Amino acid sequence: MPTTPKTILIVDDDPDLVLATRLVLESAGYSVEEASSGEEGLEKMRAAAPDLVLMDVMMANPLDGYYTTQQIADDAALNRIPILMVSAITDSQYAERFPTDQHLDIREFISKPVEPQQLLQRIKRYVR
Amino acid sequence: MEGKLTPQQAVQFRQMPVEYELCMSLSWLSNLRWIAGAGVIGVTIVARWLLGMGVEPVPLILTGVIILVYNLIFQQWLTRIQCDLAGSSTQAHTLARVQIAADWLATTALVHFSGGIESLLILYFFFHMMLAALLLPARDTFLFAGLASLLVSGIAALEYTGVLPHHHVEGLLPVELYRSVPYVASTLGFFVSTLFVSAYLATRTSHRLRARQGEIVRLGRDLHQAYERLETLYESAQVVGSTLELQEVLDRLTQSTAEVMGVKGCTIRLVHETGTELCLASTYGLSDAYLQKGCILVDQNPLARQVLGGEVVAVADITADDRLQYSAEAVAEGIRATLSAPLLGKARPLGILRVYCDRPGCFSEEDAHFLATVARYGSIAIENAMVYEAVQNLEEAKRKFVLMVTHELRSPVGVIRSLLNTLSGGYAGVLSDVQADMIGRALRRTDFLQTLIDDLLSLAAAKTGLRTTQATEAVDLGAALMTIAERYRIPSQDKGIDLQIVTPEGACLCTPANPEELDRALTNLVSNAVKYTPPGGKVRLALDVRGVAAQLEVTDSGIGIPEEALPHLFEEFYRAPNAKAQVKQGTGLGLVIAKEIITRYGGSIRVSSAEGRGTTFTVTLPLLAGGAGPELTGTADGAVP
Repeated sequence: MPTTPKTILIVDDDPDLVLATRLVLESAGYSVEEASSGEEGLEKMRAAAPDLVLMDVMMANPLDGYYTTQQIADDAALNRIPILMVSAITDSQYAERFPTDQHLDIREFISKPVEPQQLLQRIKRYVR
Repeated sequence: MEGKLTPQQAVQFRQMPVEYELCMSLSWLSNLRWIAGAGVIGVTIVARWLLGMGVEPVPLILTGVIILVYNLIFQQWLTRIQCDLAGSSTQAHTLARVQIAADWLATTALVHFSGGIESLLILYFFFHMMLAALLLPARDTFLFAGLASLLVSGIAALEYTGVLPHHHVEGLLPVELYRSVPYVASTLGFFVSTLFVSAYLATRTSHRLRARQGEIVRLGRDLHQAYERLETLYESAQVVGSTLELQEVLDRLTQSTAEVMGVKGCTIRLVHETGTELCLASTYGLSDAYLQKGCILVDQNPLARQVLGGEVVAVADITADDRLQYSAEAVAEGIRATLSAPLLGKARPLGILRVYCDRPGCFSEEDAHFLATVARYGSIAIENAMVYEAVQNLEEAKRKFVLMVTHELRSPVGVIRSLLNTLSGGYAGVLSDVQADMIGRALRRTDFLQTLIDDLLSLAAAKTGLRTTQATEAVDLGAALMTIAERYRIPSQDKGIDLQIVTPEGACLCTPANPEELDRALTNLVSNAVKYTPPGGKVRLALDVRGVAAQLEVTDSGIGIPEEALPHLFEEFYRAPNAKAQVKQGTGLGLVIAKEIITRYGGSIRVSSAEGRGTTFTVTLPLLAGGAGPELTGTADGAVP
């Protein structure tokens, strides 16, 4: 475990899912921040400077996560933070809509529901 | 009548048969006159100089020349009339009268110079009398008979009294008879009586013939019109019936009706869902301003009520009829008369088909029958289109419902799984064995629910072509099969199943499809094969080329399918009894999905199986041109890498 816990920001509008993810992440020793919308997510990214963002694609507003990533790409202060996109869409029909610009660090595209072990493995690749 | 008519002449003949025939006869008479004129000159020369008869050549030849000259003038006149205008009938009549009059004056001169009452040329008056009887009104015929009698009697009288000189034809008659009272009186008596009796008989006969001809022409005209209408009716029914789109049916109906009936415009008003209003659904030939009128209120419109009740109603003059709701607008539009027919559905009136005319009273009984017929087949076409539209809407609603429901189900089930996974993983504290077992059971049930939802979503997508239209690309079937086999390598190894894959070497066996959807279809087949094959068995995936198609065989040595289950295999939620006994959980949708996807991409799937011995599913898919014809080298047999 790192001496100063790494911070992970969960951007998801489903409190139940946030609760489950928080429990998994905290048990692995991460510090967790939450945001229930893309807008709140941007605020929290600026305030808490997380080490990784778990971003839901579909929130209350469809493709909210998608538009948020576009805003992140345009923000020099934020676009170095790695992002894991999480979506309930099984196939990659939306994948090509996400900016693959090198300035935006979208690391992976994960389909819901995410197995706890799998999630932790993925996160470990980017947060050390 | 001439034997053959040009189409244009045929139309004129149908329009005005008597006038047309008169006009044609005048030209024929004119041709005959050339012969007559030349004949007079010729016969005079022959009689005088060859036969040495005592005729006076100069006046006779002069008359012949005069005949030729006025015939030239008449021919010019005739060319101007042309026999092609409806208005030319008066002119033709005048020309006929003038010609006969001129001919009779010439004949009178010829009679005078060839012996007066002794001349046999007086018989020539009968030609024209017959002609007049055939071509002109009866009154004219008797007038001409009287005139001919006067002319011949006049010459006889004038020569008898010596006012006119008598020109005796030497060598024709032995003695001069023009002064013999009995001869002159009897000749005149016979001539005049024969003339009038002939005129009477000829006019009577020609009158009857003319009436008969008129009737035949009228019948022919009606028949022709009926045939034309029938033909256009058939064509229009074909055009209207060739589509199922409601708006197109309505538009084609108004257009073809207006064109066939040759009217100013045509509209269809359909009864609004409420049943109280009739609103414009399609129009043809009317101005935009006129179409701005509102809907018709059935209650306040007696005409609409009458038509919806099943009657065809004509308004002969809208200015004199208070049944129209928008008569002022109609007058401004230039409409003077309307004809409305009901569009009746099986259960209820659908609306009104109406045609508009710019002349008052322009619709006949036949028009009413015709419009009623159009409305009858139109109603069928409209009702069919309405049913089709309803089915389309239902299909769309069903598709949306299925998508919405499955998406809405997916999300909470996913969350439940995440929560259960968190619990069972011990992330929320250590669980007792009983708790862990129960949560394990709940998870398995949730997994099944998740699979079921995924299957339903795939099925809905396959059935509605949701993905087919999205991203179709050339999918390399060999590579796709390899990927699937790789996915099932570990499960089959664990189960002790020998999984083989055989693909031809060479060019890509490519089929146009959405890769994820095709993967789903083929995975379902491979998954079944592995699932229902006992340990120690074999599963073989073989890809091959059959003409312009790729053929894939998924063969297993599994439990097989009972014969009675085979016909139901591709039914939704069906699972063969032995499959149920072997594997508890299964949605019964896998094969349905596979079939829907494969057939959507133009392929086919069939199955052959024997219970206890194994099953082979054979899938064909169309090959992309240029991707076919690889070298078929035996097999790349063996275990999957």
